[in-house]
Parts: sequence; C-alpha cells; structure tokens
Amino acid sequence: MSLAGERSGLVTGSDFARVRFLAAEVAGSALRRARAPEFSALRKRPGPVPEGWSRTPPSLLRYSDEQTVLATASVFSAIEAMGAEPGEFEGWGVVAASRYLGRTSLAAALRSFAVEGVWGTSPHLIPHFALHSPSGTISLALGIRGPNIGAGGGLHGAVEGFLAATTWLAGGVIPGVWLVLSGWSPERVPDPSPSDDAECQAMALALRPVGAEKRRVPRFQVRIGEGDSLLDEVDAPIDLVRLAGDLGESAGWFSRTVATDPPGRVCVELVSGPEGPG
Amino acid sequence: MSSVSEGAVWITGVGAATPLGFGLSEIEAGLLAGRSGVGRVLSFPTDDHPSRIAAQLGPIPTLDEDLPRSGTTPLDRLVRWCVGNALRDAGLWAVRSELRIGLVLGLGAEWMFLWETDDQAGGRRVLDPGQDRESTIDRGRRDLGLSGPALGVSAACASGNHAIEIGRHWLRMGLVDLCVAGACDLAVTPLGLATFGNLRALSRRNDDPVGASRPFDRGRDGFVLGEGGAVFVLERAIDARRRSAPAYAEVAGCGSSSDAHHHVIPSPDPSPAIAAVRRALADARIDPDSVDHLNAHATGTPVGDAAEAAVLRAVLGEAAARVPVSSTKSLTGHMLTAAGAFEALACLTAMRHQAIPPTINLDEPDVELCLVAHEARPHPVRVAVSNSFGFGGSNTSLVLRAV
Repeated sequence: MSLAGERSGLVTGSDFARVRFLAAEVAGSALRRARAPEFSALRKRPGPVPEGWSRTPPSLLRYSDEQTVLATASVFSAIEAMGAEPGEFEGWGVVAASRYLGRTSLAAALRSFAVEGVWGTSPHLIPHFALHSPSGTISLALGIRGPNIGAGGGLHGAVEGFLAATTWLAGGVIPGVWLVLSGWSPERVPDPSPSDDAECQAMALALRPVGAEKRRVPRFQVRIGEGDSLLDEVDAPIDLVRLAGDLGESAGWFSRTVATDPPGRVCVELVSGPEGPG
Repeated sequence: MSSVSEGAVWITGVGAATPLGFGLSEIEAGLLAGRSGVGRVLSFPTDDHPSRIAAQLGPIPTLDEDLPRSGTTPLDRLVRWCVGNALRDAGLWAVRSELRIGLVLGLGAEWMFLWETDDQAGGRRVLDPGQDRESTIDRGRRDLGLSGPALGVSAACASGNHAIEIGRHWLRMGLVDLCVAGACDLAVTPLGLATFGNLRALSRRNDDPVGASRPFDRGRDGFVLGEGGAVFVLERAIDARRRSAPAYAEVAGCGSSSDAHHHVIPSPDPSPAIAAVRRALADARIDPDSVDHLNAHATGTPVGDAAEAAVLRAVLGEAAARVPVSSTKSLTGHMLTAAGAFEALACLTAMRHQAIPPTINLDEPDVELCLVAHEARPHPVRVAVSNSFGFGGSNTSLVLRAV
C-alpha cells in the first residue's frame, strides 16, 4: 500500500486533530544589551538579582561566553519586572537559542593552539561554549530542574528556539519555559581583535501555554506551512530590539511575523495588544 | 489485528554511522560480539595530548551520487548518510518529496567543529560571518529534499533523547507526516581531544586503547571520545500499520529534567535524574518490574558511573538485582551528542536479537547492579530503557517497547 498515494489520508483515518500552529503566552520578558567593556562587571553581577533569588554562585559566569552572561542577566531582569517569587518557576524548562556562540573564544583558542598546542587549550571550551551552555547555565542560576536545551545556533536559530519551546508547552512536558534569544549585532568579528562596535543582545521570554480564557497578553504563534507554501519571509537574524518594542507596545492590537525559517515555511508571529483576537 | 493507541509512535527506519560500522547489521554484529571501536587516534598528531585514543568514524560513505551536495563538510556528509539511510530503511526515500517530513537533530558543538575544521584546511570561516548564513540542518534539509520543520537541539549527551521526544510530539500533534530524529557528532578533532583531555575527563590508557573505556569498572579513569550518528524515522503507528511497515519499536516513554548543580559534574543529589527516569517509565505506563534491559549512560568516569548506579538502584528498587544493565560506551567510546541516539539503537539491537550487548573491560565492577560483562547475554527484551545525562545538568530517559 503506497504511503504517497494516501498522503491526504494519513491522518483522516483517525480522530487526530491536524494542528497547524503552536502557541504560547508571554508571561514576562526583558531585553538586555551590552558592549564588550561591560562584561567584566556583568560576569560578577548579572543582576539586578531580584530579592530572594540569592542562590546563584558568585563564580557561575566566570568562564561563560558573553551571550550566556547576558542571557542570564536578561532572565533576572524579566523576573524582576514580573515581580516573581523564588519557586514560581519550579519545573519550568529552559530553551536558549544563541547565535554563533563562542566565535571569538574559538578564534582565540585556534590561535593559542597553533602557537602552544595542547597546553594552550582551555578546558572551558566545551562546558561554556557549546550550544547547550547558556540553557544549562540559566537553569543553574535559577535553580530550576525542568529540562534545558540549546536550539538552533545559526542565523535562523530563533525560529528553532520557538519551535522547541512551544512544542514542550503543547506537549505538556513543562508548565512554562524560559526562551532566551541572543546574539551580537552586528556579528562580532574576532580579527584582528574583536570589533567593539558590536552590541550583544539577549531577550528572555517567560512563556506559558495559552490560557483557555481570552487574555490581553501577547502571544507567539509558530505556524507551519504545508507543501511548498511560503508563509512569509523576514530578514534574519531576528530583530530583538524591535521585538522588545513590540512587546512593550500598548496601543492597539497587531500581528507581525518576527522570524521565519530559511524556506519560509515555518514562521513565528507575535500577536499583541490590548484587544487580542479570539 | 491488535489495536494500537492513537498516540503511539513507532520507529520504522534506522540510519547510523558509528565506530562499529556504517550499516545496521554490521553495527549490531559488533555490539553483540563485544567488539571495540577504540584505537589510537590516527587522523592528526597526538604526541602532546594527555589522551591519544578515541573511537573514530573513518571516511563517511556517500549516500547517493545524484543527491545535491551543497553541504560539503564532514558533518554535512554524516547527516546525509544517517538521515538518507533511515528513510531508505523505512521504505520512504523514493516518496519523501510527497510527504511533510520533520527533522530534529542533536548536532552538538556544530559551529566550533565547522570553524575548527575550516581553520585546519587553511580557511578563515571563523573570522568571516558571511560564510555562516546556513546551518548544517538547513543544508541537510535542502539536500535531502525534506519539506517539514527542522530543529537543531543541543543538550550534550542527552541531545538524542530530546530530539526523539520532540519528534514524537510533532507526530502526535499532526504537525508532520513523519519525523526523522536523532543526533550526530564529530568531536574527535585536535581541539576537541585537547579540551576534554585538559578537562581531565578522558582516559589516559594510551597503551591499551581497547581496554580504556571501562564503565562501572574499578579501574576506570575517564571516558574515551567517540564520534558518529544515529537517526530514526518516527511514524505514527496507525500510519505504519496502514502501509504494513515493519517497525523496530515503539517510542513508549520520555522523561527529562535538569540537575541545576554544576556545568559538568553530576549532582550528588540523585533526585533530578531519578525524576527523569521515573517520568519516562510513567509516560510509558510501565513499572520498573517490567523493564527487561537498561542501557546506562555510564561513560567511565569515576564520579558519573557511581552517581548513575545510585539512580538506577533508586528507580528499579528490588528489580535492580535482576534487570540487566550495560554500557555500550565500552565499545564505541562516548559519542557525545550522538551518544543517546546510538544507545537507543543498541536497545533496538537487544530487542531484535533478544540478547543484551555487553559492557567490556568490566573486570572488577564497583557498583551493585546486574551488569552484563564481557559477552552478550541471551535475554528476552520487550522493554528497554536508555539513560543519557549530559553536561549542563541534562537528564533524559527513553523507554522503547517492542511492537
């Protein structure tokens, strides 16, 4: 029996509801921005750490990539803005979608290896500059024990982050998820020395399942097209500064595509404003 | 015809590339023969490395001469090989363009690998962001002609289990017609070997490569780096049954958690890891008494293996004395991001052959578990559990059930 010939009937033989989009409510958010000279201080104190959130080890961020440092800071900023209590995120997951994490450090490591060989290679590369490093660090900083993963890692990684986060929520894996998007704007080029006109940006989004009642809170919808249909196309990488502005926008309802995958068949929409649709 | 639950998801195809070989039958033969894929690293100089051994992959075969190959890195070739062979194994390669096939892959330190290998070849990719507009998963999806959503995930050693769980969710939600899920990693590089060696995580039994990976053995001194990939075609059971597709197993249960303790060291508090395993069992609606085999994460580090043994005793309770446990990392080394996916394959092997692959080099166990040592053990296996615990404190557990 040909599967191809029955494509349209793959799910009609069951009561499967064919979901076309995943969604999540935004319970809180914060954008942090920093340039290279600011990270020395941020490593020691990514805060303001909200009152009661004192469990973060002081040396936690000592060897971390800048995106991890700022991602952690953005989560604390969001928590402070939400007025959340410690324990409120018990069981939450963490998805961190960084962009080209560790480029500068890897370039330095390659130079060091070329000159000094094995003895010049830092043991911190893997724990702190792999795609999972920001999410693991954030779960450590918050002391929350839900699952944590890195997602994406490249130019369109934000879409992958939203996919992972909303899948977990829709699947009932977790009651809520911290989705943290980060990257340099423009991309920080290591040669001859890292460009200091670049700005690191990190946005923390506290996401929950969409409530049954209509609520006037922003939400993200991850739409997945069928076949070759092009849903939308926006430039990558995701514009976090504009997104932060949209989330803070209070005048009128609007919907905007904030990110798409390369073929334009998966798109992330922000639906926001005081008069959200039903 | 027995009924299947509506949400049941089956594995109907497997594609893999491992230190034991590139075809399923070859890999399974190696697992059951207790053959080691560990040897001296031959692909680059290692005189100054504290650990000079690994389970390397060898040249990756070409999947299909007619396939577009916009991706030319070793990681691109590995992804094409694993994903393509999984679809072929499932009997879906020829019709893939007519289906919405999702792709979820654990890819580890993808960008560090790409930058390093490019640097070794005289390139400057790490200094030129313009060369990084496409990710490995973007190229793989395009070259393989897949039209569904694609997601790269990273939870270190736990990546493969997370990928499989996400793929199962996508199928249950109807987001895709099929999903290819698994993980790939090529970590045996000069920088990779140096980093882990300087972290003091690797075995330094350089004079005895085959004997170096010793999970649960009193003489263990660290893990051995491995590399490769394992990828699975996940399909809704009702669809697989409709097309009379042979199935390897059901993805019966998934569970995950985080330690929130340390970037590298597992938590001395076993409760987060215990929670992950119990969630997987609960998801599969299985009691510990029903587990026929457990593939342990156990990498061969002094602390990690002991920590996992405590977790298993807590979860299995009285059943810990009789549930056979193996660590196939003794054969393949630690394939890092690909480890969990490969170990799911090892569980399928146990089910298919009703025999449990051994933990080799287990001369003096120092944990109290029912360990399968030295040789494969004939044993009925209907339910297998695979644990994977990764850097960043990730804990995952996967339950597979024969269909």
